Amino acid sequence: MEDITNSNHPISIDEEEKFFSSNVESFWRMVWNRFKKHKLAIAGLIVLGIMIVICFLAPVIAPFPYEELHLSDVPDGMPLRPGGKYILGTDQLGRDFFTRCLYGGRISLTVGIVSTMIALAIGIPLGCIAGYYGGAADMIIMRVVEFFACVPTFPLLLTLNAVLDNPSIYLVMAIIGIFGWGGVCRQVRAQFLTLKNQEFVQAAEALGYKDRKVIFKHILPNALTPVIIIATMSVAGGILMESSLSYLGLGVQEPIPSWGAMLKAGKSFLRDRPHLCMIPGILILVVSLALNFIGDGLRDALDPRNTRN
Amino acid sequence: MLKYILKRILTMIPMLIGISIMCYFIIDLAPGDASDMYFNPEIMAAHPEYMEQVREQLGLDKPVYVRYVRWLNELVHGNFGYSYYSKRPVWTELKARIGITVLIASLSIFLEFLIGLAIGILCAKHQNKPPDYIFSTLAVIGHCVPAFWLALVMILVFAIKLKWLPSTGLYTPKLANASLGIRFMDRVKHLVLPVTVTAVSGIGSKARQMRSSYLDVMNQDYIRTARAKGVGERAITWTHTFRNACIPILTMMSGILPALIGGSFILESIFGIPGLGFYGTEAILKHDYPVIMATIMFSSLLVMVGTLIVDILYVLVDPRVKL
Amino acid sequence: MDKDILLNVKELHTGFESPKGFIPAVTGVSFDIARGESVALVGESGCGKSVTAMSVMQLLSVPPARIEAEEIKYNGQDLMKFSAGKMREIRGNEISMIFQEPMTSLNPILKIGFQIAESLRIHRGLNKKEAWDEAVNMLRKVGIPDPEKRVNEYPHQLSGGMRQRVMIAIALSCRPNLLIADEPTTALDVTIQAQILELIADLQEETGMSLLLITHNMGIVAQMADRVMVMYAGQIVESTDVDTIFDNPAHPYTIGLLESIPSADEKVKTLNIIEGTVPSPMFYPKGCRFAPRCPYADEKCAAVQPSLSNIGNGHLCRCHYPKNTKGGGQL
Repeated sequence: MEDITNSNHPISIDEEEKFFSSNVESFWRMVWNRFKKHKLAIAGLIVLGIMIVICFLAPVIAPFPYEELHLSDVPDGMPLRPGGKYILGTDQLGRDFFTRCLYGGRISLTVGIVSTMIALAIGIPLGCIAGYYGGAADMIIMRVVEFFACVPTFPLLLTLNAVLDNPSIYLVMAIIGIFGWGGVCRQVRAQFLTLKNQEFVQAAEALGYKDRKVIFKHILPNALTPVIIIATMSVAGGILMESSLSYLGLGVQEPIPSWGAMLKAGKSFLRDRPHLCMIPGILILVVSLALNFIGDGLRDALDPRNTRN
Repeated sequence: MLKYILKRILTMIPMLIGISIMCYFIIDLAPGDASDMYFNPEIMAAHPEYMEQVREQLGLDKPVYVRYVRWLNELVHGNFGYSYYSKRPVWTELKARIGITVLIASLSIFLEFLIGLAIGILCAKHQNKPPDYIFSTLAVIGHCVPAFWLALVMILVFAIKLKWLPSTGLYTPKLANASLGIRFMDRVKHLVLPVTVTAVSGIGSKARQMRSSYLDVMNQDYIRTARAKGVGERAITWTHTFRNACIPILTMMSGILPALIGGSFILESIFGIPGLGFYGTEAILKHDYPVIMATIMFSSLLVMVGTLIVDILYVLVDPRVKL
Repeated sequence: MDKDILLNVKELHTGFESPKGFIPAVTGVSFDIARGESVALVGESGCGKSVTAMSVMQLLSVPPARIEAEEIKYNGQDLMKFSAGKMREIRGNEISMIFQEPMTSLNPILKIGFQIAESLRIHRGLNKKEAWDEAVNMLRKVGIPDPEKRVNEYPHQLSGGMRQRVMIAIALSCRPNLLIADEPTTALDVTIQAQILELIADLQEETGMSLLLITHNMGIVAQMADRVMVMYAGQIVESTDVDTIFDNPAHPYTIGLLESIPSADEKVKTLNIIEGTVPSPMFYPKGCRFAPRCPYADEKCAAVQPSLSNIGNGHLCRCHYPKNTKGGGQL
């Protein structure tokens, strides 16, 4: 990088900015280095990565199609134990449990991720506007956030499902996202409020940068760091909501498997075939744990003031 | 203070109205209407003109906003309508059920604070030593466990395998004539699993939050001042550090309340607890719309009351906060 | 000359264990403070002055800190041998400390009165009412107007200068024999600075307490101190009375410090600076720690560490070639 500090010609603002912003990548490198130190977070990342890969490769990996019945193998309606032809056994209709777990994972992970993305898509822009412009926009947006905050999402989700007679999974994702943007918005707004008054923003404004430029290039990168953490937690939350929904029989319908629905089906065999309940639950737990560990690692890695260790 | 409470109650009203509007319109999307309550679908299909008459009579042909205002009018007079399913007034059925949901939620919150905060402080004071690792990991697991699955596991272990605790319900019918003491213990035994399962997630998150805020506070200058004054360890922990560390936890509480109330919808179903959540879930599955409306309104009301309580606590704990 | 020595620190070594190794913050520091004396501990940021004070008060958390000393004698007793409980009895009671940042040094959720009264109740056994009344007295003494009202207020309701006064009130409530003031005015406005220093000086005169004043501001030193100790890179490099330090500084670092103070009278084009930067504690030079920056250093300086030697009349200097040795100080 040429040393512009000693150059003879007057430098434009953009050149100067390019010189200084070339250091941005080292920020992320620094974050990654700190993240690497968290063994649990790395473990979480690996586990989550493996799960995502396996579940989304389900059509390729799974030994059987998920809806294929093998009634001849379950003559008395009692699911098979793990082992032999069926790695994890079957359910009461003779469907391979392992396959169903894989496909169920696909559903859960998709719901978690997409709903979070929707929440971010709504929450971040609104948070920016509320935080940066303040005034009437801020008041309106915050009232709306409060409104959504006092309605418990789950009952409303159930209601919608009942009312619309089991809508598509996409609507489920949309609804979870729509009810989840409040937290994101609040965080982004809080960050904007703090950062707005810091000197570097005032400096940018004094240099005559347009509003949008100030928002996007200067404040937003800083404001997003807590949002990343919220995002990981909300994926876990979305997965949990989807499984709760399917546990009650709503949400994704047969024959498409979902971990929650599998749990519900397994309840009848709690005594004799506990693995039908245990395994889906453990899977949800593991994914949730992985996401939480990643969130913890990110929290420590992104906060330079963190002297916890 | 009183003025603040009144002000908050006043703001709750438009919120509730807003929620009711949202609910009403959502439910209106559903196929069918109140006339389904009275008539057999076959009859309805066979006599469409008669059904038209009935609808007119019940005012079901009016546009949705008219129906809404009528419904709201009824509501204000205390009439929540009649359950499609049981044909009884919704309010009567609700009244009997709110208490138990509030009881379980309150007990659960109490446990969460008691145990969660204690574990958090323990972890903070022994930072990076074995107790910290063990309990922090347990806290994370507790926070991440899907509650409905944990409920099943606990039922499996404690009710089916060990037979220590009952699996469902609020009391054992055959003990109805036993002495007060035995009946009380019976009730307690029935509440142990639901309250525990509800509390586990909260304990986990409070422990983690307390650990982190306690550590934050411990590093503050004013704790150094307190040490420089010669204040004893016990006073430093409780008088100086603990109260300051509680502040972020209260912030967290208002976010958790909706999940707590919402969670009751599923947990009460698993444990067969006749509370608000179970009532609502059943109603949803049976398409019992008046009940659904009422339960959602009441759940939101509970959340709002809870938030108000948290905000008041906030003012009591942190003198920097003005109403 | 027989001074009544209140505090005698002998060979204090304090360091911190870190993942990167052991960081020596204070090396071989020895000094004493007499009753009623004001001693200034001067040096730039990071030279170990605060760590020295915290070591005396035993306020560092012992892992990761490691405090070793031949002895730290206060009133004839060795503080190094004190149990935690006994040390607590000393702190805030016989030796008090005030810190640099008044904005964050007070507990935000406790009333001012409570924070002052706490010391009194712990150390003097006063009951709630007595302690509260005395707290009002102390507020009045440190110059806070309307003390009866203020005593019930919270720290966020006070300005920085007022908060520092409250800190002083807390520190002096039990009439300590020694007040350690760690950069008490650095975070305050210049005008408030003067008031606070005057307050400390007045209270010192009234109670006869000793003062260990930690600062990097030579102006404050001139105003407040009887004796001055200059620290650099964890060691005391010069120690003498205040007049001598200004008239006849012997150590090149002290000379550099004094020369870098811009004069109000002369007009100069460039400010005097000391070339180079303070060495990192992990990589202290083998010889004199100031040698890399010293204009007068030679091979001996780079190879052999000078010891703190008396260059005349109690004027101590850690240098192979002390300057200005003609006069020497008086005790």
